[in-house]
Amino acid sequence: MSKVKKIDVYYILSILSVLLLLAVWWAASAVNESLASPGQTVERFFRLIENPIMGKPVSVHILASMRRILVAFFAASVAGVGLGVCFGIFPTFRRMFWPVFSILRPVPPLAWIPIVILWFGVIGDTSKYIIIFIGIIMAIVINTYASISETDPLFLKAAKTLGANRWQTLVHVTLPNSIPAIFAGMKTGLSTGWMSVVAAEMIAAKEGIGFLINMSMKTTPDTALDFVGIVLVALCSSLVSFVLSVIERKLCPWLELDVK
Amino acid sequence: MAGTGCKIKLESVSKSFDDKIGRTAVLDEISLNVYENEFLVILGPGQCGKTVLLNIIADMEQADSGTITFDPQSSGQTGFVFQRYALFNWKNVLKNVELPLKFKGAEKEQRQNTAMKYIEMVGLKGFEKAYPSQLSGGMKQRVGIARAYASGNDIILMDEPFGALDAQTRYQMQDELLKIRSKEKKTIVFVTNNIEEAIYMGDRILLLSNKPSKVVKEYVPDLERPRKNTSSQFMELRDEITANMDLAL
Ligand SMILES: Nc1ncnc2c1ncn2[C@@H]1O[C@H](COP(=O)(O)OP(=O)(O)O)[C@@H](O)[C@H]1O
Ligand SMILES: [Mg+2]
Repeated sequence: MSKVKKIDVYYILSILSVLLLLAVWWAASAVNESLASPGQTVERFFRLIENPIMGKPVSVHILASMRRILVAFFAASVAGVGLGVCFGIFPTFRRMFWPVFSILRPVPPLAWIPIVILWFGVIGDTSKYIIIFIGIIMAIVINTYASISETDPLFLKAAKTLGANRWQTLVHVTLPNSIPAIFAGMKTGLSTGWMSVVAAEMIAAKEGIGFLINMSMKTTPDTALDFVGIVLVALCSSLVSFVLSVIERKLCPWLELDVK
Repeated sequence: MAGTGCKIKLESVSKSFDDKIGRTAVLDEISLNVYENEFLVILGPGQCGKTVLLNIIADMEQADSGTITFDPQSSGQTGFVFQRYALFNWKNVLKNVELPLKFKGAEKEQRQNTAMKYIEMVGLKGFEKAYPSQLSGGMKQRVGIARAYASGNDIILMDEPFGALDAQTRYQMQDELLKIRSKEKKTIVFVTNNIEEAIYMGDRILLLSNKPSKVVKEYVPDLERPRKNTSSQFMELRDEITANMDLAL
């Protein structure tokens, strides 16, 4: 009983905080008239459906951004976990490539845009995938590596007494133990990823939410269109994060259990 | 060594560690025999080197000098039961107990049958699908014991297996382990710092000194099982061991 009540309270608090955000937005737009209000943004969204920019319906832009983040996210997850594992279990590999990784890691993904465009062009999604991939992979590598190298020695000792070889230890002990940390890295990576999606689309794309946002600066400032883009990014990224946490819960049933 | 009933023979095993302060001698020429199917208790004060000794027997650490010889009929592999359980949180009870068989490449059906047999033996039937975080400390250690048995090794090393349990559960687990042991014979090396536990459990007790530790004395409690810690013989032996045991540093 009390548990149900508690969840209800948190639920109400979450709704309240979203309402508060809308109120602040609304108040800011009331004070500064160049800023579109929530109402004007909704209205702008429906106008966008009626009059698509350059003949492309909103769904095309949303799907373009979603496709880019999902493809890059999938590739970065596979590569990031792989790299993190290699750093974690191969000392020679770590000594050779960790310095390179450490040097490149703090470089913002957007700094690569000119080179990537020069090599892969503006047309097609390859250049966008690469930028977004760079944005996502760093956090996944770091988290995977950190978690693997900090595995409780007791687990490794137990694996050894149970007769595990190196590969079995990785598959049954080190990796599953790291899944929560890997997911945390994926979530961090996703937020950098969305940053990269919007930036890459603003600079080099003919469709996508970032393209819409860029269009809001093209003629007379269209802050309502900018807000449409902001809300779309917020909704899309919430959706992706939500799906990711559902997958995490399915993969890690032991994390949800009541501790006796 | 075959035919003597001696499972493990340690001769003059010494071990020191280098640290910032200098060199710490932990084991000082330890010699001992572990006989087939006996319940050997190694009793010593905290920090005297009991875990290091077990690690050396389990081939997890190397001795500086001395020899360890296993009965040639034994695989030389040992099962291990840890004070902090060392269960894999991400695997349920069945998967934890199956794991040593899986590592050996056993077929799924054989794995499950063997694991279920030991899960039943430790009294956890019905909990196969539970995750470790859902179990009490006593139940976790039952899983730890089942897993060590499932490894199929005829020697099981237990490092203060009940040290993390509350007193009540501890007594219960002591009886449980004696029961398990009567069902399936294994050679057990059981480490503890608790004198009463040593007398209650052991066929034979080896008392270690503070580090650098040596074997100070051997006791063979001539007490009928189940032993009663209120019997006069029990208390006499307890007083005698207490008089000979160093206080933990
Ligand atoms: N890896 C290590 N490095 C340095 N010193 C160690 C190491 N392992 C154990 N020791 C030393 O050995 C002593 C005995 O440790 P241990 O065997 O864990 O004692 P216990 O009898 O309580 O199990 C400790 O006091 C510690 O100083
Ligand atoms: Mg110890």
